[in-house]
Amino acid sequence: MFTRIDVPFKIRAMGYAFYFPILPLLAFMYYWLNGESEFSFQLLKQMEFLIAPFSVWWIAFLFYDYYEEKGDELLFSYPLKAREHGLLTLVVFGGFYLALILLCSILLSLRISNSNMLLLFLQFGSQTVLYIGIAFSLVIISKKVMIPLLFVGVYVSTEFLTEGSILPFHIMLFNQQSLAFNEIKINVLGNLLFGSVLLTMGHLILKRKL
Amino acid sequence: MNTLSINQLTKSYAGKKVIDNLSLEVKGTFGLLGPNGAGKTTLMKIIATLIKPEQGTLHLNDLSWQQTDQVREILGYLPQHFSIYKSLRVDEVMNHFALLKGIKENRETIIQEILAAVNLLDDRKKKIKHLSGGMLRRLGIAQALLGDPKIIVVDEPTAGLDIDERVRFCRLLRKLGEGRIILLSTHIVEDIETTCDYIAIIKNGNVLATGTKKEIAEIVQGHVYEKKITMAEEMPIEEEHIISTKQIGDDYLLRYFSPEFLLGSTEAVTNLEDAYLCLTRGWLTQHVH
Repeated sequence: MFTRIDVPFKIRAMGYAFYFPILPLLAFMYYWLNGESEFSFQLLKQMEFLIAPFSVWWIAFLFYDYYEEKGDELLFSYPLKAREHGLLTLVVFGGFYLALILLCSILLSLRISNSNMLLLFLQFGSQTVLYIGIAFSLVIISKKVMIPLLFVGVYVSTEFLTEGSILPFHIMLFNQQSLAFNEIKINVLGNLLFGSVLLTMGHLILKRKL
Repeated sequence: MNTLSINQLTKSYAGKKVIDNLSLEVKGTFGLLGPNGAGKTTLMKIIATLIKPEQGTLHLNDLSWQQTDQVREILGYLPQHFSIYKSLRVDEVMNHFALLKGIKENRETIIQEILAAVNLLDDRKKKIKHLSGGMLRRLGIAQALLGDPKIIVVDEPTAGLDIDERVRFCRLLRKLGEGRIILLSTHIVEDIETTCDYIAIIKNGNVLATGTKKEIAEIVQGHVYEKKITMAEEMPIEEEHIISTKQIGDDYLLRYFSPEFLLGSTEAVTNLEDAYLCLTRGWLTQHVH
């Protein structure tokens, strides 16, 4: 199933763009190591407004060679299924990003008292899935790498600056401490549901193009 | 010889028919000749399975173009625009394309053989962005050759190449055409003359003529003349009927199409360019009944 997905090549093809999402992770690690414990809520903010949204980066740049280098015609003439162009590649890179989110969740659970690592992962992981869905569907529809980056950039900035008072739909929870399952379940389910819908939509549009 | 049969193909964009009930038998090294907007690229994209026609069928022996996945296994395609993975090396890119084609065994050997065939073996460690226009086209052909396809579709392969590179590329295509169908589209008559055994002239999504170079050239035999005129002399024929003017010393040799013989002219032995111009400008249908 994954035999025609050339992960090392995809990473090389992304060039410097591959390493860019590592920067917010480094910032997180720095703060985790050096930040004062009474300001640990800042780490939660970083997760919601920086780390999770940055998952759009890899997903958008996976399609750089298709749409920005105009390789779509050539690549679509190869004997590959739509899922090999899209969803399966997303599973690999999205899975890797979710592993990083899991790592951050573990670190957070060590830092924040009375926190549950699994719940933290559910919260930020579900947000990541939705961002991946947004990035995938937008890049397939618009055929532009910048569109999902701009869309998520504007959305996250607006939510951050207004603390969720303008936009009607919130991917994030704005929490300053670890929450219980009952407090996150609607947000988690909503993010996973919308994320799945967007991933399916992106896949179907890609399939139609093929 | 394998033949790709195209039957009654139709494709429209925004209500305008770009391919209009087109039928064609494609075999050997086949050139699709036509002016810009003739429908060549659309036809190439349909053959490359990138666009689905509204009507019509395509077959190669028992294989129907409805079986997209199987068709893509036997197809090599070089689009008009080929410049991808610019910061990566030739061998890396070829290895990736080979993987996409599903080549698992002897991948390195196969890639080396193909790169040698297109004369890029010594440049395999070069980055794509450092290749010349001609080398890039040869790399394009190299990726199209992966998997030993039965059909290779090459869209406007010589666009933007200098004369040297054009000639070399056409010679390469001719060499690679043995045992498979190579379909190339262009509006440059010379490229077709040097590369192809069979030709179709298309305009407005229709086939105006198809056959060998000789057969097509003969369509206008008896309607093309040459006449020597001095520089001071007025053109004896309407400008739209002129095929070419060549300066010979102080005179011009005028080559033109005419339904009737003009005094002082000699009948010319026709070539592909004569037929192309006569057919695409509609002279034959206007003047010969």
